Amino acid sequence: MDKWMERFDVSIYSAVSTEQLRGLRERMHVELKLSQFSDVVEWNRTVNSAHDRLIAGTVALAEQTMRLEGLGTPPVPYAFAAVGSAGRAEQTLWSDQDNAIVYADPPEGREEEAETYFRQLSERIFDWLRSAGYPPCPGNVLCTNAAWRKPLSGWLAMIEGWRDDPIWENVRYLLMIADIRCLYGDAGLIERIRTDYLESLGKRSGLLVHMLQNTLHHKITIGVLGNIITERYGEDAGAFDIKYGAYIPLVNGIRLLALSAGLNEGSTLGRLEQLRASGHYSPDEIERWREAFKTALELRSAASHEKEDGMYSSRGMIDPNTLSKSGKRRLKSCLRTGIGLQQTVRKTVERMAESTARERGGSA
Amino acid sequence: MKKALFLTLILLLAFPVLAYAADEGPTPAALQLAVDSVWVMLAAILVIFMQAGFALLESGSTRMKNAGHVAGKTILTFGLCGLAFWALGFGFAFGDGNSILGFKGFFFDGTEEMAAASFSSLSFSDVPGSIKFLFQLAFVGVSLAIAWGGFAERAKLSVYFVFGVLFTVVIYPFVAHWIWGGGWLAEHGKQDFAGSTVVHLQGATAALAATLLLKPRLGKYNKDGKPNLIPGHNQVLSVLGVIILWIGWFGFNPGSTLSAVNDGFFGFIAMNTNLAAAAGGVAALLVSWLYFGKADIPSMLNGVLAALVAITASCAFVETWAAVVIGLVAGTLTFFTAQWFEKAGIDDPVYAFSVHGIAGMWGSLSTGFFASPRLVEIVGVGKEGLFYGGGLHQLGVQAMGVAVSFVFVFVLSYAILWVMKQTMGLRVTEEEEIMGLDISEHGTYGYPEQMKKAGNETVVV
Repeated sequence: MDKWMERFDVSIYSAVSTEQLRGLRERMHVELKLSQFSDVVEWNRTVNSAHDRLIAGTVALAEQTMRLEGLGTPPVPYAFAAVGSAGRAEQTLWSDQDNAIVYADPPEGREEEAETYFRQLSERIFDWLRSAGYPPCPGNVLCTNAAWRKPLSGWLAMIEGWRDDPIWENVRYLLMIADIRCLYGDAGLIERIRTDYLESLGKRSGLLVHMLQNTLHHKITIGVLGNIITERYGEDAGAFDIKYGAYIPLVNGIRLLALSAGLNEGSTLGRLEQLRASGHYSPDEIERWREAFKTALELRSAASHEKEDGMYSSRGMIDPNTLSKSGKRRLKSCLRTGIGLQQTVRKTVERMAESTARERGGSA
Repeated sequence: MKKALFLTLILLLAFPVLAYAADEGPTPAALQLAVDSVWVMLAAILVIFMQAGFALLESGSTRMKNAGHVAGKTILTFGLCGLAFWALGFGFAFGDGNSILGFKGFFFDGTEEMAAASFSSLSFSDVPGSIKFLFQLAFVGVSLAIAWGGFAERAKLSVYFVFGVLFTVVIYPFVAHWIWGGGWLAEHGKQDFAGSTVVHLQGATAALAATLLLKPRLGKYNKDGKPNLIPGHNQVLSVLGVIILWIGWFGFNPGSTLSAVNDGFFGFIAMNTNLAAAAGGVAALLVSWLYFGKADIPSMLNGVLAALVAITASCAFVETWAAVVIGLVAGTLTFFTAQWFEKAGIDDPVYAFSVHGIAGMWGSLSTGFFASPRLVEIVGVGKEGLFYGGGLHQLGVQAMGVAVSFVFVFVLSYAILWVMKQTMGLRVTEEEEIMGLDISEHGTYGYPEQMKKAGNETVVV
């Protein structure tokens, strides 16, 4: 696979058109199937490396072409970052684009210029990524959205604003920031955001309680009798929602545990590693969560997907009838572990809130 | 002076007992007749009122664009049924004849002479013939209303005219005669106190035949056979409908004693009825919760009705604990058969066959298990059930009754509907179905303001 990645790198470096980028995306689909890997973690790492390189290559190409067309060069250092599954390095072959641009604070008088440049850059990147098969995020978490394209001070202020007004929507954005990762450009800018974010989270543990509700919003979909609950009607009748019924609850739960422990890590597997190292939870428990997460990753990659208007997308549904007996067993075990995880998350955060309250001498 | 005289006259009118001063008052027999009559009359009214329950339930469970039609046709068909049953159906079902059908008592004139001369199967009750007629009419009306469940949202109005009359005259009377009219199943001791087979299974089987011949509604199934949800437009109406049916059942079951002078036996029947309904509703809701992960209200409504349908046969033959069990099983069974039919590609818009057919079969069979000797003695039909040492005899009789009735009604309904399909056509056109039967069959919407608004936006199937 290293050889493959080398060749891929070279192709990206030498790409000069969006058609070529598109072609590379298609190569990923053909040459990076799960069946070609022995381990889903390996597969995940390879696919996401490929995505990272492709996206970074697209940004670089966009920057280059803007210079060639006389639209200028970046007036200040900037970072192109991803949140969502891209931020966590957990994209499948059909993920959409969730991205943001953070640029250094421009000097006095050059704010207008910077804003114009980055707006044009973001539009170009967005278009090219779309034509390379990355559908836009339905929640408009995109660099083309002015809210997600700001100077560093603007970002820190926006995040501060969310912290001050922890309504549902803002808490959802706060949780997204926990996943932010630099894909191209000045990684230091993203690091600033992450450190600032974690520091203030440490000071305001009341936020964790707000995050708890958001985190547990998507419940693991398993019946009281341990039966897999499937959709009743429509296109996906008889299918199980692996994305929102298993994957997302696991990701959210592990993320909140990591945040509660003050760990600065953006991927779910990385968070599990750090949680194990921190000693907060027994190695057995971590191992069970890891197994459940691997199952979710694997089944998620098997979800039915479409290619519409040249864009890859997936509704995240699987048909349990296509699973083997052991596959079904693993899914059920994954779901049961997920329920245990959600209970642990609840207990952990509630305990933290209590202890903070006791320190302050009142309730949170 | 004139004023005082006037007032005295008014007072006299208000106290007619003063006029009786010479007689001794009504005889015990006359009193019994009066009390029985009042009770059966009340029961008849309760069961006729169940038409309101059906109208609410069916229209609540179907779409807004068909609401006026679905609700309105209830009155239309009850009217048709009322006339057809009076003309021919009552005579065929309850008139004196042979063990298959009755041949006397057509165009009943409401007199006791005709009643005595033509309806010996009903002579065990002293209630006037006119009230007996109304009571039996109420039951046919319910059976017909059940059948319409299978036609909902896609059948032409003319079909309701034709099939309404044919069902009342040609289909229903046979099974009614066999079980209640002194026919051959009654001779075998078939226990069907208030009509799980006679009313519910018959109606549901006709509904099934219609469902199969009419085929699923547009948009119900995708090309790959996956079902889509076509939700009813108003769950509140559906719930109200079920409550009215539940209350109405207090006329349906206890009224079937056709007497109030029976040591309060009709009260015992009412108790069984209520216990079953309660068990069915709770069981169905819990099962839906376990199965879907969410407690499903329509499933609960079906569970209540299914339990009531099941206890209809057995209400006078089983102990109270058995009523709970019968209701529980009915509620659970109906839930799973409803899912099964939907997955099998059979679009039963208000689950008529699951609720009335399957539960009707279960209810009819249940006496074969649970019929208790002391109650069998009181009612005087059939023998005790399996769990009381009666062996398989009664169960066999029940099964035979169910099987024969089902096959008879299914074959006959299917044949009639098939002929209708070839000659006059059963289903409205695609455009009419999409526009809604309110506008296509009746020219106006049941919800004109809602539909006008919807007409400006994209039309949802």
